[in-house]
Amino acid sequence: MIGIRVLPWEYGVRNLFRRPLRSLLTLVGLTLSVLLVFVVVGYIRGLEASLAVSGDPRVVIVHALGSSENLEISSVPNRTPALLSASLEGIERWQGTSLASGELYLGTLVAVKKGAPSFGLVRGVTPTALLVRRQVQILEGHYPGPGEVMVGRLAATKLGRSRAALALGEVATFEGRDWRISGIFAARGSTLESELWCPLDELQQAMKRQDLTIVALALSPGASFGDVDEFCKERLDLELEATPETTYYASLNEHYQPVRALAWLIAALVACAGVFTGLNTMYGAVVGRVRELATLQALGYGRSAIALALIQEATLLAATGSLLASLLALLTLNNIAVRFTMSAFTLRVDSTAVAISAGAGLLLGIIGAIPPAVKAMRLPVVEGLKAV
Amino acid sequence: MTRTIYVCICAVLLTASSWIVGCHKPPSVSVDTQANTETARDGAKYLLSTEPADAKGVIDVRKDVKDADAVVVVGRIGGSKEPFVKGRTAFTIVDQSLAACSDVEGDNCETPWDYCCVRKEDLARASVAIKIVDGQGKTLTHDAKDFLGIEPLQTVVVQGRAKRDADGNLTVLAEGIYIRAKPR
Repeated sequence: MIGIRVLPWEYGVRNLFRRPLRSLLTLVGLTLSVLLVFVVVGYIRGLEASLAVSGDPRVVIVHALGSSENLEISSVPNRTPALLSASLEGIERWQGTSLASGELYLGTLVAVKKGAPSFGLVRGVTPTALLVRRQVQILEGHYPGPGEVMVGRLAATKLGRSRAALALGEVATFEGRDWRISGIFAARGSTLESELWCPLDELQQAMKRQDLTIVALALSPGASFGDVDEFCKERLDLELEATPETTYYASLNEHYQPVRALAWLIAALVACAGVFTGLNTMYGAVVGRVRELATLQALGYGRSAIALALIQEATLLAATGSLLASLLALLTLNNIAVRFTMSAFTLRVDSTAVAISAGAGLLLGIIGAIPPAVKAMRLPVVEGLKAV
Repeated sequence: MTRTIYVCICAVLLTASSWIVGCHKPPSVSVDTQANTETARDGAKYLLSTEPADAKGVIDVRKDVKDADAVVVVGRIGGSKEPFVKGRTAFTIVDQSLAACSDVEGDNCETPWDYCCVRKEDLARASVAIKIVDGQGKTLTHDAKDFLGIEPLQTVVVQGRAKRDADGNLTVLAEGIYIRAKPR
């Protein structure tokens, strides 16, 4: 610093080891505070990432008029995929198959391994769904045949059961029928991973329904959403509405804004607790070293230098705590699956989470050291030398 | 100490000033803004200065009009959360006899033009698609909102030709649009 004679760097480091138990307890407190911030930030990042990857920019969802905010209540006729394929030129084709996936999507009670049923998400699909939903990859087993179901990687978390309960060969019961688990799929962390997929016609039979919930269309390069939208608005007899899949998931993201706001509030409260931990320690450091600090002033070190040394000690502790918390978070929290209303997702300790949480930890230390540092600067030298 | 503080403050201010001067760009008319201005001027040629006579409601037009008939229809822009077709000069209008959510006392719907309070079947029966096409019959690719300067729930009188498909669905190919002023 310009014009200030500062104390040696080693002075601050040595002081931390002079009272090892106090320093250790403060370090543990700071590490836990930062770890809690990691949990909350990882939760928010995981939720945002899950919704962000769930929407494919080339996919358009065609659903019943007026059901854009709640697709589960949408009902469209069974012939809608064929009708859309025949009427719209912009739907992508692959080896003669039009990429229009008719799907029956619902939330229903699912029981596994004779346990109590819990709320799960079931989607009745045709093989075309794998062409439309490009992010879906079968990790184990195979696409479901008659009487079979394929489960997402996070379906067990959504149902509140262990992964073993939804392993290959196990049986899930829903809509009054048993379904053998034939495969496990991943979908790049999207909300699809918390679903159970079964053959559409079998699900319709089980539910005694002939309709669909939605038709997911994959647009060919050069085609635009406007083509589908114009068709739906002209064919009012069909009572259809088109929504880009990215728009649908963006609206869900908006819907969860209060949850995210609450999570940030919790993170801020936890951070405040961390500040008080630092404050407590540094006040103790000042009170216990009154004579030492007065001696330093008598030797010619300015009050600013002493305040800086105290801030240095707190910052060292905070930085160490942040590093430890970052390591623990990466090793223990990253990719932990959590259940959430209509889906499940994994905690995400990415670079943004590390920057926010570790940065907050560092800031806690600095802020927690300022009041004691100001107190130290105000100590009269003569009074300090006489202190016991 | 005081000298140190002054030096630090000056350094921060200098850095901030350099950043502001270096990074700030004077506002310029963007290409998008210029394009919007041109689009709006083109769209003005479809707007009528006087209301066409003998305008009928949407429900009546849907019942009576045949393919290729000249038609003058009046209705309110709406019928879904997004009544304007993205990237097309097309939108839907609803018969004035239906109440939008904003007409219902105490309803604080954020998108009152979606007529979510009305039964789906009644809404379908009382809606019609309006579009402006070029000489080849292809819908123009300007967003109707900016192109024509129209907003949801505005009452418009559309003059054009009827187009019926095999299933009896009606679309009006607009030649002129009159925007009715809001009643005071």
